[in-house]
Order: sequence, then C-alpha cells, then structure tokens
Amino acid sequence: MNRIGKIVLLLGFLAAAFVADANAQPVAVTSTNAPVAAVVAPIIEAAPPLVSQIAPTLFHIGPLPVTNSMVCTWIVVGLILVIVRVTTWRMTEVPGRGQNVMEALIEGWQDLMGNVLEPKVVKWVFPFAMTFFIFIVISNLVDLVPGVGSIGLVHEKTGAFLSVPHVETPFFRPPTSDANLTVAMAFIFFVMGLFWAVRANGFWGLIKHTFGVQVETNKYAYVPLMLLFIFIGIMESFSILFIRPVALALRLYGNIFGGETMLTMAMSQKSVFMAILLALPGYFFETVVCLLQAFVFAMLSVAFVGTMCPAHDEEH
Amino acid sequence: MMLAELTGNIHIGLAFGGAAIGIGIAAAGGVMAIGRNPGAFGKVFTTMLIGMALAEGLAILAWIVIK
Repeated sequence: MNRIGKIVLLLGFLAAAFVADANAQPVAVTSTNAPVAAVVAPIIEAAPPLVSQIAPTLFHIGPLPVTNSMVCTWIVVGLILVIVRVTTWRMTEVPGRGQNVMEALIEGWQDLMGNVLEPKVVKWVFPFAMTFFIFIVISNLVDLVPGVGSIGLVHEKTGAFLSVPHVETPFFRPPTSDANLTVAMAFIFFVMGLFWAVRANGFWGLIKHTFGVQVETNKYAYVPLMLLFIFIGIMESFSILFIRPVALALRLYGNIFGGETMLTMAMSQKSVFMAILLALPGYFFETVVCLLQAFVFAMLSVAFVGTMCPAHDEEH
Repeated sequence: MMLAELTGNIHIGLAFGGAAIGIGIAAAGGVMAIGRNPGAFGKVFTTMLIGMALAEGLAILAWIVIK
C-alpha cells in the first residue's frame, strides 16, 4: 500500500512538472539549440555570469566590508562549535551516538596519517589537518542547503514558476567558493608545512633532503648524480614554494565554485522539468565532490608534509 | 577558417583534458592495485591522491599562467 502511494505521488509530481513545462516560455530552449557556434558565442558572452567570482558585499562594519561568504563562514564556525560541544559535552566510557561519530572520525584520521608520517610529526600535523577537514566539510556542504546562493536581493525578476532568477547579491554563499578563504588556508598550510619541515629535519637537513643525493653510490658516480639531484631539487623547491599551495587553494575553490555555478545554472532553467532533471544528478555529484574535496585538501597537506619530512631517516 | 572562430579558453580545455586523462589512469591503477591487495588500501590511496594532485596541478598552473 505504501509503495503504491509513493508511485502515485511520483507520477503526480512528474505530471505536474510536465504541465508546468508546457506553460513555460520556450525562448531559452530555441536559443540553446542553435547549432552554429558563432551564433551561440555572443549570446553566452552577453549573459551575465550566474555566480560572480567576487563575493558581493552585504554591509559595512566601519571600514570593513562584510561579504556574504564571510557571514556564512561565521555561521559555519558557530555550527562546528555547537556540534563539537554537544557531542563531547559529557564524555562517557561507552560512547553515545555523537561521541561515537567524533571518535571514529578522529581515530580514522590518526590511522590514515600514521601511514604517511612518523608518529612525532603526526602529533604536530594532526590538529591542523583535522581542523581543516571538519571546517571544509561543513562549509562545502553549506553549498547544498536550499536557499544558499538563491535567496537574496534580486534587481530584475526573470524565470518561471519554481525556477531561480538571477540573484545579484545572495545573502549566503558557501565559504569555500570564495577564493579568499581557500588561498588563506593554503597559505597557512604553506607556512606551517615549512615550519614543520624545518622542525623535523633542521634547516640544513631540509636543504640536504631537497637537494642532496638520495641513492647509494660509489664516489665516481657521485659528481654527475649530485648535479642531477641539484636540478631535481630546484624543480622540487619550485613545486614546494609555488605549485603546491596554489594548486591546493585553486582545486578547492574551483570545485566548489564550479559546483555552485552548475547548480545555479541547473535551477535557473526556464522549464521546471529540465531544472529537476539537471539538478538531481547535480546534487548527487556535488555531495560526493564536497566530501571528497575536503578529504583531498586535508590528505594532500598531510602528504606534502610527509614528502618534506622523510620518515625513515632516524631508523638507519 | 574554422579555427578563427575558436577563441577563448582552448588552452584550459586542452590542459584539463590532459589532466583528466592522467587522473583517470591514476584512478584505474589505484583500483587495480586495491583489488589485488585490499590490505594496502591506505598506502595505495594516498599515493594515488598525490599522483592525481600532481596531474591536476599542472592543469591549474596552465590555467593561471596562460591567462
């Protein structure tokens, strides 16, 4: 009985979507079907971007402009505080539901980091990676909350029933879809990673680890190998100093900003049926991407620290 | 000419296409390795992620540098 009811509901929903679809204006459909690239190109260029790359300013506190992503960051920070405090308010020997989740999360990350780093370095890096993971997960998932990016000040109303018009200044924006935040986080990682590398190896040890010969040789092959490894060290220091932090920041920003743009684009289709058809797989994809990108950010920073602090040096 | 119409972000498309191929190869290798030796999941996964990150990093570099 229950299943039949569900099927009837689904059919009714689809029928309503089709009816609304028939009522929608077919303007967008005909224009997007134009086959020649030269015709489409000016239309795409003329249209304003759905989500602006710069977070719009909501209001000012004194001289400080407050953007919508900043507001969202504060909400996320408050949310994390509340979640962590509530789940670990009364720590018990046999963990309850919330405490169990937290303990599983922390133990899983400790095991994962134990694979890459030596125990001494794990103790330094763990709070950093864990904090970033929790913060990025929650601020990515804000992307999927209905109303984020779609409720705001609209200057001109377009679109049909249920479809989102172009919102110029939304009240909320996922924090990680603002490049300022991801660049700041990558910069913190950059400074702290170098600090940990120097602390683990010593300054001279770090230079030797980056530029030195890392294979066993006799003394005749040493000089050409030294030249080779110096060039490898130059490339690696370029990677450490520039590519890694920039790629770390832009990967997260690009994924979340692209996802936000994709969802907005899907929801602002003129026909409701197309909007639902595009948004449903988009939501699923974004859920996976949000979790995965947070994991990748934290895990990559751990792995980068791992490449700078060799784990096997002290055993020999 | 047809090429005259193709302006814009072609280099980004090419760079990210190459990165996508690299990431796909890394993922395929990782899945095969985990399938053969499920116990080594952590190590294989971490190495795979680093390889993916390096492949993606070049594409991001192309995105920034050749703007």
